[in-house]
Amino acid sequence: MSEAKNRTRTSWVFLSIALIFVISRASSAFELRAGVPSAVGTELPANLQEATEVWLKHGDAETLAESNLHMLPGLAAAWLRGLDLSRVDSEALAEVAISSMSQTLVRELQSSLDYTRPELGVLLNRPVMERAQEQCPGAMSSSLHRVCDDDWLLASKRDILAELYELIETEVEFAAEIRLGDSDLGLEASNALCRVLVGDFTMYEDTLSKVMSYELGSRQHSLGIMAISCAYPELSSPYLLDLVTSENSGNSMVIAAFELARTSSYDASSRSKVRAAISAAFEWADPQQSAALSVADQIVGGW
Amino acid sequence: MSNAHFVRSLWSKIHKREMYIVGFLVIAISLLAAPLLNPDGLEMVQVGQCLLGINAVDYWMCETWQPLYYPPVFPILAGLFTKFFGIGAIFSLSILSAALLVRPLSRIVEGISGQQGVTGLMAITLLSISSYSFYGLLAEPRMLSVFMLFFLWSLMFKVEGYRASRQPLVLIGVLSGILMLIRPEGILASPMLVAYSLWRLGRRGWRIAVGFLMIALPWWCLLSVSAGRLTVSSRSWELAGASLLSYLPVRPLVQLWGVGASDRPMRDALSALGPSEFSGESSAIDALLSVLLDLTSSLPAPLLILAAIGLYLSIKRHDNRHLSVGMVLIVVPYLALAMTPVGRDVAMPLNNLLPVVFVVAVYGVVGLLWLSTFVRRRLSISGLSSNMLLLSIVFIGGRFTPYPSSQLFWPQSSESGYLAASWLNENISEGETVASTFASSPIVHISERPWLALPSRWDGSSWEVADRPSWLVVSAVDGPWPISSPMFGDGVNIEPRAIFSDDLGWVLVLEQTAGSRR
Repeated sequence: MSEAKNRTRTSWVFLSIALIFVISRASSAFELRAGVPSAVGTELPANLQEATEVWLKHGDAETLAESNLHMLPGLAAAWLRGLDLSRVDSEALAEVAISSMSQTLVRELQSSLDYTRPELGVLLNRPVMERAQEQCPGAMSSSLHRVCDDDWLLASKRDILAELYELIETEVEFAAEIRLGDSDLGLEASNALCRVLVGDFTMYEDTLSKVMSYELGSRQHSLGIMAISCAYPELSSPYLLDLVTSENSGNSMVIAAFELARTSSYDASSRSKVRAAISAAFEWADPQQSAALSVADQIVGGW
Repeated sequence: MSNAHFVRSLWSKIHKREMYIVGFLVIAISLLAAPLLNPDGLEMVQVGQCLLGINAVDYWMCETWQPLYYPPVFPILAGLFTKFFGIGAIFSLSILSAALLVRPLSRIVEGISGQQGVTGLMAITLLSISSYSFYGLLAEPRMLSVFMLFFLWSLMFKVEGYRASRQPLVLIGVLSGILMLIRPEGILASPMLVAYSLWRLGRRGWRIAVGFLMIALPWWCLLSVSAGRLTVSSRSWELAGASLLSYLPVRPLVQLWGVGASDRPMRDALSALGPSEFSGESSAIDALLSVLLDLTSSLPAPLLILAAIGLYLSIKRHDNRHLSVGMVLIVVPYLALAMTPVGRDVAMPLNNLLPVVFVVAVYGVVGLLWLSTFVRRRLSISGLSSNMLLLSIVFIGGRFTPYPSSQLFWPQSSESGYLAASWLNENISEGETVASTFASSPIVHISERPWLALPSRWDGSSWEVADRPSWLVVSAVDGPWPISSPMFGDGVNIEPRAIFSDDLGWVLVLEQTAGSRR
């Protein structure tokens, strides 16, 4: 009997040791380390700020390629925000522009369209395109020489827009979760559409009619509204107000209210108009829509 | 039979050999998978420490969190364990649950097959399932909940034998209430247990409901008082807002209503509503196919074949068909949950399907036992040899079906994430807040710096420039959107300060500085 007890005790001791082993193993994996340099896993020197400054001053495609850092979308997006466009080589700039975007979207566009990465970078970013065109004289031998051809540019822009609309119209995997990085193609296509259109007011009417062609209350319509409100916040405002105040706009009133809340919170002059529209919409909104509208109203009012 | 006697009888049945198998499983799981701290798990530790009133890293956040958002059992246990034994102790609950799961599963196999001593076979079969070791080392309550679920059902099957028993049924009800306090979907198990016991034990089955209500009623009262209205879940707003997911992009919407226990105005607005009918585009058949695809692609093909054989044999046997009815009652609510939009998770597709996985494992072992006998007779080899042969095939099959989540970039468990956390800890002062998305928040928590969630695209303006934290962490799970977000408009300069990358992803630390852009 006592021998059986001893064996049972031994088995408990074994289990306890196993648990202690696992806990200490897991704990050691989470220990903070000292003296970590600021640029691990890259070829950049430890002083990242200094290296960024160096690149900004002497930036060209070659030094960029050597650093290899432009391939990291987060860093490219941060760099693009701080770039002084007048001082940067357009090819390097185009590469940074494309690196700052969703790489899932870039792969998708490259699989359907015959453009290089720097060309896509130029086509999807208006300021970068302007910078590339400034450098056109004498740049005919560069990999961006096609950007200097107006006919090619016009046709390419049409192709890119058609492709982005197609991506917005594609049925998305509903359960695409926030933790999947940049793989929500519909949302990324909407963001890219904004970048292509921003500043080009000649495209507004075409874009509006395209957005209006989507079914009210559909996800495609929501993505279109986000793109148009991002690219043309002022021009699109009457359309969005109309959606909020129209009894027939269904669920589209919600996204229109959110987008108006976003733009009006930066523009005090339009707040009263937006709040009045939202107040009117409560009359025919269903409970879910009302809940969302009340949140939009709070955003406009500053929570 | 009294509760005490019943529990004692269960205890005495835990054979010492099984304890060795449990210990072996603890070690094997830790060698097969890497520990994964998910954002919810880390937040639960801190919520637990807030509930217990013991010092939490982000103690000032206790006031901004919804303390009842997470069912309390795991947060309290995890908060307590990590307080005294360090961050590694958060895994002890999951790994021990995963290892102990072998026992109830083996009992069920023994009931279905009529054979004894199957614990070793079950242990090896479990190790062939990649999601078993993945969830066994995932810092969250899912594995604890699954263990409790199967433990409850194995008790239920056992209690059927005690015709005169009364109290064990109440005890099962109490435990099913505790299951609900581990994971919210635990509420689905209780009606199934009641239905089964009414079928098998007649009116005495209601005692399970009584036991369940002894735990559930105080919890529901607490939730209702806290919410200011009648409610049985702290997450009813998710159901109320589910229809918004069909026409609004997920990422900005989720940022707007917040992730985890954070208290956001949109939750209040949604909480006041009843559950809405979701009007998604996919049909029930599409959802079922998708769930089946998730299951079959994550389980070893040989195990699926053995499970099909086991299921066929158990249906053919009349004497214990009721056990298979019990298995169906385990599976149905979880399958239904996994088919809803809020129940599906692209990154971790088996999140709500784990009970189904283990029911497959149960039938897999039943099939293996039968096939082993068949092989032994045909090839004239020993029982051990035929078992080893079949287990090897299952195990090798398992190596070819890794759980998809283990292939993803998890900032908190990547080399880049730890280096970023270490860098933050060393280079920014203790009081400085770091902003990030919820998905990247573990990096901030590990760095022992206060965390602030990034707002949505739609309410970015609410983030007053003066209130913005100086530091921002963005990782590959976020993509570049936090940096190009409208809330970082003109006048805000963001400088990259540190970058960490590995084969799977990257983490970027940025500092916001006042002044104009370059």
